[in-house]
Amino acid sequence: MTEARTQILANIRSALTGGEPRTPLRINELKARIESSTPKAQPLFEDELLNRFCQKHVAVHGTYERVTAQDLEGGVLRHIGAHQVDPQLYLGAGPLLDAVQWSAQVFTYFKSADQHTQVAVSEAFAAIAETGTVVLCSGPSAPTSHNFLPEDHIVVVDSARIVRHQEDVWTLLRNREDAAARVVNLITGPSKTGDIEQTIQYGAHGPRRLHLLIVEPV
Amino acid sequence: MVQCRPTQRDKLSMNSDKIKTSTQVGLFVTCLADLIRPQIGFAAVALLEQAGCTVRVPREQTCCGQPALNSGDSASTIAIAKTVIKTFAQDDYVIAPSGSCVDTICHKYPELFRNDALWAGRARALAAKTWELTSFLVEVMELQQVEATYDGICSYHDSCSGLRELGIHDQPRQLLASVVGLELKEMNESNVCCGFGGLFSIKYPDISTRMVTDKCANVGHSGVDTLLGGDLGCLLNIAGRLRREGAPVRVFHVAEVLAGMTDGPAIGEGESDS
Amino acid sequence: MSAVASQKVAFRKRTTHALRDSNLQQAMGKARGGFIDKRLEAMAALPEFDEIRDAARDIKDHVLANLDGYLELYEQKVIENGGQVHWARTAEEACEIVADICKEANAQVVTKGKSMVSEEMHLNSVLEAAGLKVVETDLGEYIVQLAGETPSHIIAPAVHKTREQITELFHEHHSKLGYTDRVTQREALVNEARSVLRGTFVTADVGITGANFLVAETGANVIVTNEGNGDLTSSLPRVQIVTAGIEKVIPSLDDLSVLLRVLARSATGQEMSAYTSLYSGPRQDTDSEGPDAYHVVLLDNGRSTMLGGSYRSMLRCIRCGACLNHCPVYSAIGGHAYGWVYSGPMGAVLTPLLNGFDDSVDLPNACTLNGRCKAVCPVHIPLSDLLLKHRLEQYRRRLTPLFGRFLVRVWAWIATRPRLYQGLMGLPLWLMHWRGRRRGALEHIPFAGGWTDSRDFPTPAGRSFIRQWHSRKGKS
Repeated sequence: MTEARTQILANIRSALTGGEPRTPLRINELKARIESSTPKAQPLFEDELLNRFCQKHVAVHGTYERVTAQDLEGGVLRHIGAHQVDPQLYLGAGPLLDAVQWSAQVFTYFKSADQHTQVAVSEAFAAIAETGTVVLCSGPSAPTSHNFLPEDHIVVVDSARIVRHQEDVWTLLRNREDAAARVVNLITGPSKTGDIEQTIQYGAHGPRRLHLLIVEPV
Repeated sequence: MVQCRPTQRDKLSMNSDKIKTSTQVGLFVTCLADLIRPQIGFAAVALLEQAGCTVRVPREQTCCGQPALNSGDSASTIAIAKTVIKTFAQDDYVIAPSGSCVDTICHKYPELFRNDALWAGRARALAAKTWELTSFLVEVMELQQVEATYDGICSYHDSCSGLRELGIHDQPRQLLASVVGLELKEMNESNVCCGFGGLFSIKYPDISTRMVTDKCANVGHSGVDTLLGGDLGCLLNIAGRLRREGAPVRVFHVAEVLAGMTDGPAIGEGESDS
Repeated sequence: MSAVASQKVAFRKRTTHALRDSNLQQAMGKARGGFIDKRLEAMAALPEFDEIRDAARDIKDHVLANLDGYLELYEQKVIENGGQVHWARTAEEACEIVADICKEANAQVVTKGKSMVSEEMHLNSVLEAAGLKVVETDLGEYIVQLAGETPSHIIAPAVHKTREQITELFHEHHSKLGYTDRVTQREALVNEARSVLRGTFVTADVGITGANFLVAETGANVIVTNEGNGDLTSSLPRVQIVTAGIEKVIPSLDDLSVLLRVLARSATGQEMSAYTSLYSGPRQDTDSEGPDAYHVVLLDNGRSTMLGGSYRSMLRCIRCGACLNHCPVYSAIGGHAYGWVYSGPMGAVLTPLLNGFDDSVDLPNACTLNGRCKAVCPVHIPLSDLLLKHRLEQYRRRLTPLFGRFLVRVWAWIATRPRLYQGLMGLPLWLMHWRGRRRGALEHIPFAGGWTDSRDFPTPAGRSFIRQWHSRKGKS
């Protein structure tokens, strides 16, 4: 539909520039504005990052446990045990998660989730203290379906990857060495809806429960 | 707080020398007060004189032109605006007991004349010296209290233009706090539109009635015996509905209470009721 | 009957119906306070709110002033990512593009995340006519789809439905799927919808969502949801389609953060929605899953025309719904009364601009110009001022009733002649005073049934202030 494209752009230009096309100089200026973009008008807070992150996460109905890197399986088992869920784990990937030596107590799957998946365990790319948000990037071993299909979503968070503001995540993403992630999910608490009588219910379509295992250095 | 263009503070600094001698004001009584409840005009004069002003009431005034503007008729509005501008050209201040009329003069007139540099200048000059009554008394004349008594529990309805375009909220309450015997109570949703909206009230009567019914319910729940406000349009609407519902709440314009002129019938009250 | 006249009849019918609909009134009453209070709480918790709002407005204004440039940069990035960008001048063109994509993909089932633009396009009916099964997955949209209705609020599509109504809808439609119990509790209703839709999510061939934002920096579309349905719609099917108005593009990820901060707070009082997601193209070699094809359909439908006039600020709109939530008229009549997909103040401004002034004469007039919408808009759109501008435009186009215009002109002519005005007002005032002074208010005024049918009219004093003042002055 290139005719439509031409006409729409022409319409826009006639409204803005009297019909003159944008000069390459102007396009470069716009590109430069994007490339030199910096945060603006951020909310200021001096809270310690981990505390703030945990507080915000709990405020949106999330749960968490602070564990060591060696006790990740323990953390997973404690959560699913508390909710009487079978230990059938759909696993994502990340430095901490990859290092776990899973015992025979659990069954691990390395594939996309399906509508019967009960539990997925992912590792966050980063986490945002400002809003209690975990950031998950799609990747070769980190399917997006893990974030949305299971009943329980457990996310491993390296406390060193908790940043202050949302924009700090963009900086991390821009500086990543890996290929850019196709999907970036900013997840703040479990799935919910207010569509019935404007009252919040959890577990609308996404996970009912979002449980974090926050790993701190020993 | 929402600021009028120019800001209240700008207007103050522009006119500060004039405050020291007796302040001359022209009263823009507003069409509704003029035709339906003149008591408001007399109360406004009394308050302005109490505060130390000399008040002129030009005969050549009728309306600010809002009904024409809100009907989309800019030509008619311009004609009326020119009359208003000419009539009040000689006054140092122009005071009106109505937020919506002052909003029209301050914010809408300059916009109407945007293609006419001469009249735009005159409109801006008028806008710079036009004030709603209670905000003028408090902010310019620095009136701290009034000499009035009123025995009753009152609530104040915040008219939309006054609140959102002119920042009128604290000023009337400040003055009411000085009325002996008066207890001021806030009602729920005091800042929600009463459904008057000028011609809206007769063009969309069902919707308007729904809105004023909700307003009256809030008045009822507040447990007050008196409702006050700064715009007669709103008060006619609310009083009219209260009366139809048989509610015993008395309705006055805030100027009447502040000026101690509440011996006669309230808005919508008969001669036999007062 | 002219278009204007038939619109007036239709509007009157819809509003009367809405005001008498006790279910609607009950539902709207429950919703109103919640939205307003939550937004206030969110603002109180963020001291920088006003600063962020100003920054959000500035970003939008900058983009609009350079819209063509940013659209081209965005398009370039999407193509680099392996996606395709389609441009549609009209709703029909856009529907055709989407239908063609679905046909080429041999699609049978389409899932949809919430997209107001797709409602604007009437996309569902076009796809259904082409033989596709279209399933709305946002719970509110799903409910209105079952009811055969359109959404009545841009972020809470089923705000007009009571729980009882939803119970009946689910019972009627889900029984044949094996859900035979009549479910009344909220939690159970949500669980039932979750269960019913699960299978559809995984078997859909095409997933269509809207976009809250399109980021030129990375070529991503951003969706902001709480349920997760938008993400299931975006990521599971083999074809992903994004429908968006051309005004949705923004420059960078940092600009995105500014806008996100005001969006959720203004809409529902949240700091962040549960899911804010960025999707940038079809699956890559480095992905384990994802759609094979990624399409963006950019819709103009009158937006480029709005750029050039005095209504440009309306294009800043980020579809948060705050203006709806704070409008007392919307609260009284609900969204369907507005007659189109966009309702409340933003709908009253946008509908005449996108759909034509003739068909929407009442919208700018069924408004008290109380200004709450302007006060709460996160990007400072002067909504009530634009509605007044619509009235001036309607007058210019002679769309308002001739008799009314004539009356106003006569009245205004008299009002510029104060002595004549006072003279003419004398008798009617005296008559009304004489008629109503004992009771204090008139129960009936000829030709003003709109007022007196439901309200008394306080009796005028009988003699105007100007006359009283100047006769007193004469005496003293």
